[in-house]
Amino acid sequence: MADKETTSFEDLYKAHHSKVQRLCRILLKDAAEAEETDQEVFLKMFKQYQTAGWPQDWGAWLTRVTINACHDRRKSAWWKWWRSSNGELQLADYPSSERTPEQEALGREQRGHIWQAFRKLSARQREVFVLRYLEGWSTEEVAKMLSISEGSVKNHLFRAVHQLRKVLKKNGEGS
Amino acid sequence: MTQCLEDKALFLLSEGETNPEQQSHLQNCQTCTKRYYEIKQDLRLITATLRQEAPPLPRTPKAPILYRSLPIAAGVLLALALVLGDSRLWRQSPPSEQALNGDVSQFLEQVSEAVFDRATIREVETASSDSDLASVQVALGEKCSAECRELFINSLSTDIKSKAETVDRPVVTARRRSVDPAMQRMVSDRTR
Repeated sequence: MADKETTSFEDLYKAHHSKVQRLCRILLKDAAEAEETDQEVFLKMFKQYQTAGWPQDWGAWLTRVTINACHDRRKSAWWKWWRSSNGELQLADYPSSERTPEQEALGREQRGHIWQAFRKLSARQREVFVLRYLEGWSTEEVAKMLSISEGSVKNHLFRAVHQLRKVLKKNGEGS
Repeated sequence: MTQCLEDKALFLLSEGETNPEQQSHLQNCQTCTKRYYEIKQDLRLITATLRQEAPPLPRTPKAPILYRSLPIAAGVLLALALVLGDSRLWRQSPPSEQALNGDVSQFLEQVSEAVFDRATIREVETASSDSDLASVQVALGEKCSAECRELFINSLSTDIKSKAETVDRPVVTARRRSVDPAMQRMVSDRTR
């Protein structure tokens, strides 16, 4: 737990900003929306920072707030409409830098397909997948964060993995 | 257990779910073991890809803000239209009532023209109230004074004259006829 007297807001911001920014960018499909949500989350963090009731774990608190903020943002009917009326990401948009051995095994096009498939998952599936595999929370913690049952988390995870594997297989066979 | 495990069961085992029966099958079945490791490998690849920096997201222009204000603008316009339309309707109500009355009287006129002849209407219009009373009294066979009888005869003669001047059609005149005693009683009661 961070100590209120020794931890400044700036320290907390520096420690968590990149994670929150990445979460927003993964869960939302628009850069401007992701930036706005990111700012919204840190505004909430600042308000929370000023109050007496500090969370036990700022990381978990920020993850939960970010997930909820992205969820609220997606719920906006106008956002949905605007997103659906705008085109999907192009393969050329995906970065070409290769970083890990697994990445090296995968071509740029293949990675593009995975990202596209990920973007096509339902919002809940994306949230569950990100929290479980990218953020590294346990199934139980994810269930608590999203206020759903563990069984539901596993179901969403399985469907998400199934969809992503299908794309991986399809394009692996093709290439 | 001889039947191979489904993908979901293998995935749940990889997620740490403990089912002794499925675990023992997994240890003994080469096909399932291979599929199990495939799932793990695929998951590693996918996670590694998604952990990489996210692709640049498309930046939508500022147009959505304009679109977001559309419902508000539409609401304001609707409210204005309702208020203005309503007040205009209120203002128009008296003339429309007059127009309606005019229409009704015109309609009644047309109906009366269709039911009665124009000449008959004129007869009714020209007859005086005195002569009417006299006519009724004579028609009902009531005792009538000399003055009354004179009035009746005068009205008849003026009617015949006016008909002869205006319309070339058979003239309906009040003829003395036998009167129903019940009707007679009713009329005399009323005059009393």
